[in-house]
Amino acid sequence: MVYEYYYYYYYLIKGLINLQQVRDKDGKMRWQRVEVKLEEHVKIPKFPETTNPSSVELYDNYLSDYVTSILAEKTPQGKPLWEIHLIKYPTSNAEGTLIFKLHHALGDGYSLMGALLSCLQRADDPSLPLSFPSRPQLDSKYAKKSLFKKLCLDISSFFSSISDFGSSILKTTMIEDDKTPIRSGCEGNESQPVTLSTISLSLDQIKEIKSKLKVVRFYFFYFYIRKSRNIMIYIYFFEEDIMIYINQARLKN
Amino acid sequence: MEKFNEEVQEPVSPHGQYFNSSVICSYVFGFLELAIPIDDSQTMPLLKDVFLPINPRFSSIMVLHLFHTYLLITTYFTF
Repeated sequence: MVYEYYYYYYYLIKGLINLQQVRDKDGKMRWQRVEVKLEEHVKIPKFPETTNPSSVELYDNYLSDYVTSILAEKTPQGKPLWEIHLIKYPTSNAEGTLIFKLHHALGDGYSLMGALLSCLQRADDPSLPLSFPSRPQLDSKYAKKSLFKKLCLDISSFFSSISDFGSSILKTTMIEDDKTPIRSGCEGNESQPVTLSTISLSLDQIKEIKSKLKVVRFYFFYFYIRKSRNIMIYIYFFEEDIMIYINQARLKN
Repeated sequence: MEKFNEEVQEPVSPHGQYFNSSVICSYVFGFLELAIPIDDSQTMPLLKDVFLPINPRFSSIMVLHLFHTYLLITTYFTF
């Protein structure tokens, strides 16, 4: 910069705000706000109309086929990664079904479930928000124990962590998992079509299992292949209250 | 300030990038079974006023940024 000589007796502070673009070494994915066209995200499927009295079962089948198709479908690129499907036909379980399809990149199942619950109101008192049962303190029993017992527990948990770590390394590198009723061991399961299946368990049964296994939380992962269909179900259990959600993931080639 | 916040693009977490890669594409599904028939006249206003404000990611897309924009404030002292 060249400045005029006669400005020497006073100074000038000149601030410039520059926006400068610098090329990243490797490209980074970023979230960019866009205008949402809601009508493109709400899908209302039309099933064939029937006047048959057993139409409920028919609609059950239509719904199941529809769910199978949307499980496998990829949402279009260049649009926000969610879809809502409104099934306005009565099935054996409900008068209408609302399906939220949200990309896993938006959040994990727990946080997305929280987000969905925040859209809803309680039927008994609409002013109260519908919320998760509060997560209980897991270390309450631990805190009551004496110092010696705590030390023993810590040492044993240290060694069990080391053995778990070692066995997980062995399992991922050398040993292949056994074939079980829930593991077919077939190659190329990822490209198979997917279906969703639900199971209902009574809370008493789960609490019984939980107390027999002496666990505070367990994570149930179910991957089942029958008639070339994959199912994944995750169920989370917590200390007092039990929360189940079914999460479906499809591996893509 | 609000406008500035909107313009700053949040990076996608490593997990988010992984879930939307060429190897895996993973979705989370939520099913709500209703005891009353669906009245879809309420759908659009509810989505716009209740669902979208929950998280800005619901109205965002993932874009690959090869360029990063830096805000530089330079001050020149001239005598």
